[in-house]
Amino acid sequence: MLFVKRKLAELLIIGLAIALPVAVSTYIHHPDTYVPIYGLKYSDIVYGLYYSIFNPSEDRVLDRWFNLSDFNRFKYGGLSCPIPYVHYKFEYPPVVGVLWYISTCTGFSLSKSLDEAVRIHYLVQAITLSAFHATLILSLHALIRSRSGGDALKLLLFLLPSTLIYLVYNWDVIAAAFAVIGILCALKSRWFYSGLSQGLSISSKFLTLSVSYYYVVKLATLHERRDLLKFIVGLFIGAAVPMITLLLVSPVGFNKLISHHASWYCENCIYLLVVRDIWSDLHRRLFFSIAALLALAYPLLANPWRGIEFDVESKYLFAGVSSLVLFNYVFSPQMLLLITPLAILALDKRQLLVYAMVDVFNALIILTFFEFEKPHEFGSIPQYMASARNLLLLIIFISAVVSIMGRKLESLERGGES
Amino acid sequence: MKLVAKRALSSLHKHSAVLTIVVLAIVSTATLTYQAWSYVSIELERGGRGYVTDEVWYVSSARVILLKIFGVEPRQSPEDYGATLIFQKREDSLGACTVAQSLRLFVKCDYREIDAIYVRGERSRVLELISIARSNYSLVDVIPGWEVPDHKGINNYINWEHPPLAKYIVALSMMLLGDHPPYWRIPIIAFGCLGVVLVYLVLLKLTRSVIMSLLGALLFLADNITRAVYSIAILDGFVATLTTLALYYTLRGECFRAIITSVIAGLFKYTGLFASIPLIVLLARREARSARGGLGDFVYYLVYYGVLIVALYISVLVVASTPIMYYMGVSSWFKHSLLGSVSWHLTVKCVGANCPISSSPWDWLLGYNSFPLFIYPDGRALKAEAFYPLWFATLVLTLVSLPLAYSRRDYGKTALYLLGVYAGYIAIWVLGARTQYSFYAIQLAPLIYVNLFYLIHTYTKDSSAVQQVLSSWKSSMNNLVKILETLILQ
Repeated sequence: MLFVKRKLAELLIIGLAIALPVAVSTYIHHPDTYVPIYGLKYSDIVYGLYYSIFNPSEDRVLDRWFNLSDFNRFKYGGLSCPIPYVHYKFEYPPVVGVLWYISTCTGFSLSKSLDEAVRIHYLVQAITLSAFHATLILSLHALIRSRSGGDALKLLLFLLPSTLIYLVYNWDVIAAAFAVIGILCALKSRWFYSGLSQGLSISSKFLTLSVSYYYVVKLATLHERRDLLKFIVGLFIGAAVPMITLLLVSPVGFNKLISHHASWYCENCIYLLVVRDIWSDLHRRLFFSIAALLALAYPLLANPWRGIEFDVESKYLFAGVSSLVLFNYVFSPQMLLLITPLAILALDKRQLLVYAMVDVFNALIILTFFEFEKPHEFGSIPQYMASARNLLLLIIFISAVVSIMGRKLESLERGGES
Repeated sequence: MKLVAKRALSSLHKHSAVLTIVVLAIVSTATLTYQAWSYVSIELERGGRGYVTDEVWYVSSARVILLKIFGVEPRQSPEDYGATLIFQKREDSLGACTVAQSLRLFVKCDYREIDAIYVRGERSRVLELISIARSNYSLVDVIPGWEVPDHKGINNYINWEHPPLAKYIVALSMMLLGDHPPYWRIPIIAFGCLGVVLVYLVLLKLTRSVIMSLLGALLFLADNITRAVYSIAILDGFVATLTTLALYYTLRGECFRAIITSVIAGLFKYTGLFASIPLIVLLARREARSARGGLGDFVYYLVYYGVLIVALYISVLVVASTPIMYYMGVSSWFKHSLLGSVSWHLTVKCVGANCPISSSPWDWLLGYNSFPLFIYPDGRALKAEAFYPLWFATLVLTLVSLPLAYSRRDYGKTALYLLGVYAGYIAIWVLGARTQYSFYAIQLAPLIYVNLFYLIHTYTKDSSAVQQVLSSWKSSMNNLVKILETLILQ
């Protein structure tokens, strides 16, 4: 009876963790629904990209489109399905590009009106993102269940405001889902699929690169050459093939994708506390320097050991992804969705409490964003929210790193290194 | 047949280090020569004067030293003889320009800051022009060789604020080979090539791994700042190579040679003396330990060796600067070249919009405020900017890895070189040298790559090193917490 009750409770938690964010997020960002705060309404899917690409002001057409004639052909019906990267700039990696092409093309095929097409486009996006969210929750549940003492209650972290707001908003959940599937495959020693899934994760958002890096170093350190080869082949197919294809199909689109990310300003970044000018080159330089330091320190000082427990491994994965996001010069609020699944796996209850505060501050960024002038700059309320989020996340990151180093030292003292 | 192949293989293995050195020397010479030549072709195409960044000072002063102190002209062929003629008045230079054209000489009359023209052609015609200019115009000075830069007083400029050795070497190159941009750069390319080989040798000494040493040397060569600075006739590349040589001698236990090398480095530029900072620390530590003394003894020996090396340096500098003293007078040399240059180095050199971009030593680790050395025709700048993420990561890893110095003497010395030289730049920044330039960082470049590859090799080969570092930091942190607890709670 107790077992059935526990199963039912678990099902309820899973159901809630899937359904509530999907329902709330889909509702608030739907172009037709009313919400009292514009910050809640705004999404990259609709306002950030769709309207800025397909209905730009006259003077901004060439900011988005590679040439005016393509835009005019689209506007006057000669081009029904413009292709991202080919006809216009698109700043997201190929998996998102393909999904974007499918949803916009479906919209434009079924309706000639931009405002009607956006609803279809939005629904296609919402359904896809919801499916990925469900996959993420189920994979995460499988990972939690595989550990003794794993607590499904932690999945309720997905009911915090950041997931509710940023789920059907941008595409981070796709990258998170692929990354977690990759981790699950790794746990089952299915290295090709693990590499493939993690490659697709990188092809959705670059920042999950650190998950693959963890496994590459692990397999290389443990001299698991066959597994490493399988993993790298999968990773190549998932990450490199889409990028190479994009480069071949549209070199200009590829260059714009890279240059867009390389030239972005400090968006809610941690360095704003010390470097107040958001356009300063220092933000980028600090990110690349810290990323290089972590990328070097990890294989040299903290490389994984044979028989490493999954709870330590999940700390590595959390530290990897959260460092790339936290120390990045762009820390858009939706990026927290890349970290949340790994936080559930890696953090203890006290740390999760702090993480919940991180999540709330993160949600407040967009809620206050449109209420203030110059919301990107230091001194604005959204930036206070971002700084509070960043500092709390920094504390969690440091505690995870200290814990990793402690376990590494223990393993060395036990003589448990391979 | 098998035996022969086996012998060949074994011989190849034996000589692999030598072969690698030869390959490295060829690759680095080719890389740096290509880089140096690229400036020449671009400059010639756009009608520039051929100087890259501070070459305007060092090469010009080398030419003046050769000509006016040693009384020797740069080597030139009689068919293609060049000279810059300097006049007192603008109209005289314009008049001489017309005469040069009538003598069918190649002539450049585009000087603005000085009233000068540059002519090139058959030696007899150039001499004829000089003779006409002397009798008909207010000809003040003639500088044979490549055209001088357009700066007031450049015909008498000897760059007294820096020690003379680099200029002697550039002058020697002008005398033996000729006065042409590639020839000015041959000494620095040779030093660059030596620097790459030395990085290899130092790493080989530390790691005994040919592959690791080769990778370290190649990455050092591939670094932007190495390729840029070692292809231009400026002082800092010479200093960097000699600093690496001093480290090499230190690792071989040849401290006297290391001291001499660091003193010679100081004859190229005063910052070369920073290479003696780690030596002073090492010697003071050694003496204090052998005397079984404490901190007081250590400080005493620090001062003792510090004074000794400075005294040795000044003596050698006096000898090396004798020709300069002869030219500018002993008291003037003492006032300007010795005392004046110390204060010049410790002050802000240039303030305002027209000044080159200066940077602080910590900027170098982030590639920030990098100095533009050369502007390409498309507007891009060749900057003295290192692979900064690697530099930042290496410096932090070096600090983290300091506990290794207790068990691995060689690493202690290697880390001390990086931190000691870097501390030198920070010290002069604190003392007032707020306008440092990013190309100074080349002195750190070999030390960065030596440290990086040593740490990669050590940590990947020996997990006890990781254990030692982690447990040291753990116990240090525990001690710190205990101290804080005592301070706060008691």
